[in-house]
Amino acid sequence: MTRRPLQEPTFLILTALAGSSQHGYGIMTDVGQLSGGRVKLRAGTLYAALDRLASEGLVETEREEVVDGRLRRYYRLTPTGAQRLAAEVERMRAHTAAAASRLKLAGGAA
Amino acid sequence: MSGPGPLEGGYRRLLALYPAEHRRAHEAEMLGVLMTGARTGQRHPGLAESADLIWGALRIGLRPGSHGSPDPHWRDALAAVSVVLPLLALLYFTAHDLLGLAWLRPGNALLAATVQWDLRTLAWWLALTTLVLLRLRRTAALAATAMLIWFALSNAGAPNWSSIDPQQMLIFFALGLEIAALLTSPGPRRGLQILTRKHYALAAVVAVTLGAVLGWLWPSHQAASDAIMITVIAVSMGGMVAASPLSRRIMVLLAALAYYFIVGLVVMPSMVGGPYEYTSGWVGPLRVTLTCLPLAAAIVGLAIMALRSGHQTNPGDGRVASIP
Repeated sequence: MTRRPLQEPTFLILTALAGSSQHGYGIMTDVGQLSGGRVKLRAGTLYAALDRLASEGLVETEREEVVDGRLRRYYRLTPTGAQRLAAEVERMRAHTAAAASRLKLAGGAA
Repeated sequence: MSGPGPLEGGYRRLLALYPAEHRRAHEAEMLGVLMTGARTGQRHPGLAESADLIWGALRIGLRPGSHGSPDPHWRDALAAVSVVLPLLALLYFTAHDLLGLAWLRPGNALLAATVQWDLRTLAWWLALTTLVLLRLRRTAALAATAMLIWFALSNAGAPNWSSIDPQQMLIFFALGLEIAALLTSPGPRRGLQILTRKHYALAAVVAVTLGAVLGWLWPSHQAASDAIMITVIAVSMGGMVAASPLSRRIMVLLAALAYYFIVGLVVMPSMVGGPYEYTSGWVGPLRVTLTCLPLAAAIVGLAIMALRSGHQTNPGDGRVASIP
């Protein structure tokens, strides 16, 4: 089945969770670092994305804890989420390889 | 102990825009994230942050099958209505306008204006039906909203409150119902799955009969036309009650439209000749009451639902007891 490519914020959220589980604020800062500061994820966007990803079975809640009297909920990738991210990485790798290959050809012909 | 500061209060007001179930699950957590990310000394939510939270609330609230949406049976009925309603309107206006055009005679300015108006309405319904059949739920919702705005602006110069027109209310209700059906259900994708040939056949027969009778027979035989149309509506709705639970729910959702159609017949303005000259029909408090009754019932029903949703909500206060 053909899947639509992941949007960049979604891709970065799944990537942030690929290493280990993270809480909301951790995901926001990690996405900023992963994108070199280019993508600034805000709470409204993050939780709309998490809500959708959870409904699609790509992420799930791992645990909750209380820090300074405030609730922190940790999210992790599900096996389906990891497969989806891996498929997206493979798709991007194929595109990158194709682009690099053609650029190389173009460079050789010049 | 002092209450929350202005920043937290501001965030709470923005988070109140989220669906109740989402607030129950995530409000405390989101508040924690927002407060953690706040700058030192920040007193109010920033503009971009506020816009982002409002947009997030809209995205979650408008998601099909999202938190706080109706139960699955009613979602299916709404999904079916999202397909049936524009189809009904398209077939009705097509039959009505074709016969209206056939009756059109040079010099009949009122009829010409009416048909011209109906053709514009027909174009809107055609566009909406196309989007629905293409399963473009959100685009169809936007188109229905645009049509509602167009219709409201076109009728902005209504003469006065006492002559409020039940036929205009029929269109308002139909568009409001269509928008609600598209936004609170899985939409046409699901509707096209569950609707059967019998549903389509019934919709076609009812819409074409009503359109044809009103466009062709009504100008010369008003009483007979009214009787035929009321009978068709009553028989088809009675049949739906007996048919299946899904048909019954569809019937309930379309009941207000049937009501307005019949009330529209009762207070139909009568032409007295000359361009655009017609009596305002039956004007007075009873007309206002009959026309506004379903609207008032809908507002009260929605208010009760909102209050019940609020009572069921027990959003966290952002702070939770420390785990020992």
